[in-house]
Amino acid sequence: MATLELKDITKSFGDTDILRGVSLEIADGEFLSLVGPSGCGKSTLLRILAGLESQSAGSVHIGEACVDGRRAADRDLAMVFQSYALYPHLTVAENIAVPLTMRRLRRADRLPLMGALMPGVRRRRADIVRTVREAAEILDIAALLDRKPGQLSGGQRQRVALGRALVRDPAAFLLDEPLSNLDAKMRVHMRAEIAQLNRRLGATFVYVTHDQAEAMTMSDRIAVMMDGELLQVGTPDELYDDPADIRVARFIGSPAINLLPVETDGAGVIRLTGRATVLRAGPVPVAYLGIRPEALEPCDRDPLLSGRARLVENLGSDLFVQLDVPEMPETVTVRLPSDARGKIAAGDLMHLRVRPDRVRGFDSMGLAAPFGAEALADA
Amino acid sequence: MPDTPRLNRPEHRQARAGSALIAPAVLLLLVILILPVAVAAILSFSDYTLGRSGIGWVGLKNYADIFTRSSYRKMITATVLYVLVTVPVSVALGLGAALLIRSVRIGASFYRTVYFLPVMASLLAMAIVWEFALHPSLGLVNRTLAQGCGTWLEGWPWFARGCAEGFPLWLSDRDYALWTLAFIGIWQSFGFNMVLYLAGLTSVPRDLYAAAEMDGVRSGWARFRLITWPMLGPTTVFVVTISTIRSFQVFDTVEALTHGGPAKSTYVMIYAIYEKGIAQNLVGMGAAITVLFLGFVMLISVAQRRFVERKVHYA
Amino acid sequence: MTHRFSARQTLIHAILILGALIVLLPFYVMLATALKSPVEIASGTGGLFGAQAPMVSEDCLMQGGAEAACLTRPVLDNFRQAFTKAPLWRYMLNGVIVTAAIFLLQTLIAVPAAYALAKLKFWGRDAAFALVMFCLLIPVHAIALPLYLMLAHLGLTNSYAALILPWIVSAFGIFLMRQFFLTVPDDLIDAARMDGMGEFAIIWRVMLPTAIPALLAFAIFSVVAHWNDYFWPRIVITGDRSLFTPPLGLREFKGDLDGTFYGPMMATALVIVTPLVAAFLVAQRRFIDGITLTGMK
Ligand SMILES: Nc1ncnc2c1ncn2[C@@H]1O[C@H](COP(=O)(O)OP(=O)(O)OP(=O)(O)O)[C@@H](O)[C@H]1O
Ligand SMILES: [Mg+2]
Repeated sequence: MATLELKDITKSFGDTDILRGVSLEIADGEFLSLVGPSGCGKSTLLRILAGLESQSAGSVHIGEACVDGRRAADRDLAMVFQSYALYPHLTVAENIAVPLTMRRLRRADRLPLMGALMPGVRRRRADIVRTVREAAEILDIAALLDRKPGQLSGGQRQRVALGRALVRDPAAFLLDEPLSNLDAKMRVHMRAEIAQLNRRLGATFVYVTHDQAEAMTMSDRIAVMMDGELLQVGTPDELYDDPADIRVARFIGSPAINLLPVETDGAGVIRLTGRATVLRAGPVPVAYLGIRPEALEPCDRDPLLSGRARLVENLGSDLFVQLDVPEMPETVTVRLPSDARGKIAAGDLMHLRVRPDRVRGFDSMGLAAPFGAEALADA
Repeated sequence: MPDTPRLNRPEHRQARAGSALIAPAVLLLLVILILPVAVAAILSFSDYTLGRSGIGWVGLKNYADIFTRSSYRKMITATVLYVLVTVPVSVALGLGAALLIRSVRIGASFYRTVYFLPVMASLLAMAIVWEFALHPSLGLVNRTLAQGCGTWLEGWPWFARGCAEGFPLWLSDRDYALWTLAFIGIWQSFGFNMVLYLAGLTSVPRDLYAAAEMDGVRSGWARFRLITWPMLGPTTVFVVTISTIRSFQVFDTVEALTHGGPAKSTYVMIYAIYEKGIAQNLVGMGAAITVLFLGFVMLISVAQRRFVERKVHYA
Repeated sequence: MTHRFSARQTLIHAILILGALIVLLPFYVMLATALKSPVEIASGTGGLFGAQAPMVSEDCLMQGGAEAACLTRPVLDNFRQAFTKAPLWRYMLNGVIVTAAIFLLQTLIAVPAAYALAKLKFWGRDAAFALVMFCLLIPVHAIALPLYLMLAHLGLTNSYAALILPWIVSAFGIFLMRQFFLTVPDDLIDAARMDGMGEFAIIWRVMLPTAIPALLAFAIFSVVAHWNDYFWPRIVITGDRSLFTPPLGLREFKGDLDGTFYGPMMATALVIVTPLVAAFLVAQRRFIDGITLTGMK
């Protein structure tokens, strides 16, 4: 168990900067997800943490110690790979035992015949077998120990890979998109199991994914990464409710947040499609309003915006309506409670207002721009 | 990462391991394969002989000899003729056998096994057996032929002459020797080609044949021209190349059965290298033939790579 | 299935059977001759097995044996002569030593090199691979003369080293294993590194076991080539019978005279050819897959 700390990590391959100064502290026992679109450098960061690759600048600390220059095997971290990376020629039990045999038995001990004669080897081997069995029981794969990876399903392979990480009792687990090769149902199931494992072991988990839903459901904290930079690190709620950057707002949440281009006039009044709204900008002019679909609600008078329903998606529990709003480049998505079912159809005109405490402003650079005090007072 | 020793970086560890692991192979390739090529190239301009100290440089004389002296012209004729006979026939037989074996409903694996047997057997041993089978008086072949005398087979002039004057001496007749060696070469190698073609055939998608059927392609020949032959293109390029290189290197049968004779009719290049360069210790001459030989073989391989590179790349 | 005996199928079988007879002809001659007595061989009688009538071995008489002691059966006499006229066991042992040593050394050198080429990044990797690809163009037989001169200068002719050394680095083996290693996922190697394996452990405990099919194919390719090789041993081994490989032994048996020892000679040929042919018959699929794999790269 240990804290992990990345200090100002940069990485370049030739001329291209893959990571540009990433700093991140991960608390002991925390479940931290690293999310971001494909190619943003998540795996690279994780591999630097693991010691499989080196950073161009910056340093990595595990616990109190700086581990730069320490080899991957000596960093006391376990890693689970997207492709599971099981040894195809070894049984499940042997696969899980590899990190232990490599650590606990010396080179001479591992020799096929000689090894058996070395003092203490027999006991240590028995220890290993017991540890493997315990791990298998935790993961519910004790029945599979004699099989080869080729004879397992994707979910079972994933568990074996977890088992191999588990037996080492590492300072932290690093998981690189471990669920992306599973089907949707299995993914939801394993999601819960991995989160439980984190609580049960009390170990630090760093979990890389490009699926924001995974990150939202499993994590204590989420770090959102884009183009080699951390945009925001925070709890799932913070990221959802108070995105620090328009890209974070866009990335988190499904269906996606509505981002409405607006203008701020000289008096600080925020104008949407030319009309003044009740919202007042703070010191920084607001260029976009970010409104989650559930923050919009139908109203009879003084609507913030009006539009015709283009598409009504009925999910049973909710109803999502996509509106064509004149002069808006993109459709606006509204979530309605399930009792609105049947009351609205494509082509209907809808007037919507917004709960002012649920609106977020962003400046022309995409950074969060708080509203002026009056705006909130109006609510 | 200024505060970390560069040597401890994983990339550096990998680089060090990589250089260390490749070093023995590179070193040995240079010493065992590249250096000899250089040695041969240099010695081909000399009259060096093993055991004599000193070395005399003769310029292009060895090469000039190859292209002017009749024995070396015969060498090139014999080699080229041998290759030109063996390669097309063994490739065609390999393809034919593969196609026939694919089309039988029973016994396919039996035929495959039988045809592949000669590839496994020592060519030298089998050459000696063939020699005995082709023995003018004791051999099974001429004995069997002799049994045809007095039958309708005598209507064939060649056969009638055989009955009257004795069947050919196969290996000691200058008109037959090269063809007999080529026959043994084909006998030995076509099973290998067959196996490669069988592998090539399994990779032709079945759907293509179904599609052709739908398009109204009925006859077997049309199917072959439309689908099989084009799909086997890469296999054929490879089979032709490897057969060519192998038949260029024919030695065992020549050394054991004909010694390049009669009248140098089977004096192929590898045998010439052996005879001149090693048996007669005319190293300069042997080296010149070696260089010529390498030129031939590399030309073929490079041509093949050019041919294939458009489709396959090895990176 | 209704057309199992169609004319077409019958014709195809007829052609294939004719082909099979021609292919098998020398095997038949070898076997029949090895089994028969000199009289039967000379007269071309006796079918495959010969009559196996008791006979007095002339060879035995010439060695000074008593007539009664020399009474034997043709097949026994042929094989007895094969093993006593020349140290055939020794030849076979040499064959095993040479082929095994060649294959082991080839593996020992090619596998690490192939791993480095496929999975490690280092300065000069592309150049090293280009060298391998170039060496693939050079048949070792073609450069036999300079190799022989080099060995002669080192005083190594007529030794096991001469039989083995030129073959220990196989550009083809490196290439083949590299192609196979390329298909091993990088994650597996990283996982092994996390598990505490060094590069050597990764090669022998991870890469090699996953590459068994390729290695087996290469083994078959290598053993068949070197057990049957005649050209190279012929050049570097002169005279010293204790270093003869099986083909050299047979060649010496034949001599350059048209010997009349056809029976024993064919028995020798049979002994030499049998190990590989038998191995092939037992593990046909493996052999054919292996040859195909190595053939198609
Ligand atoms: N060895 C390398 N050489 C050059 N560029 C590399 C190398 N490894 C990774 N990259 C580049 O670095 C960027 C980040 O790669 P990385 O694998 O970290 O992305 P990722 O966020 O994990 O993406 P994904 O979600 O697709 O796995 C990519 O643009 C990739 O092309
Ligand atoms: Mg990744």
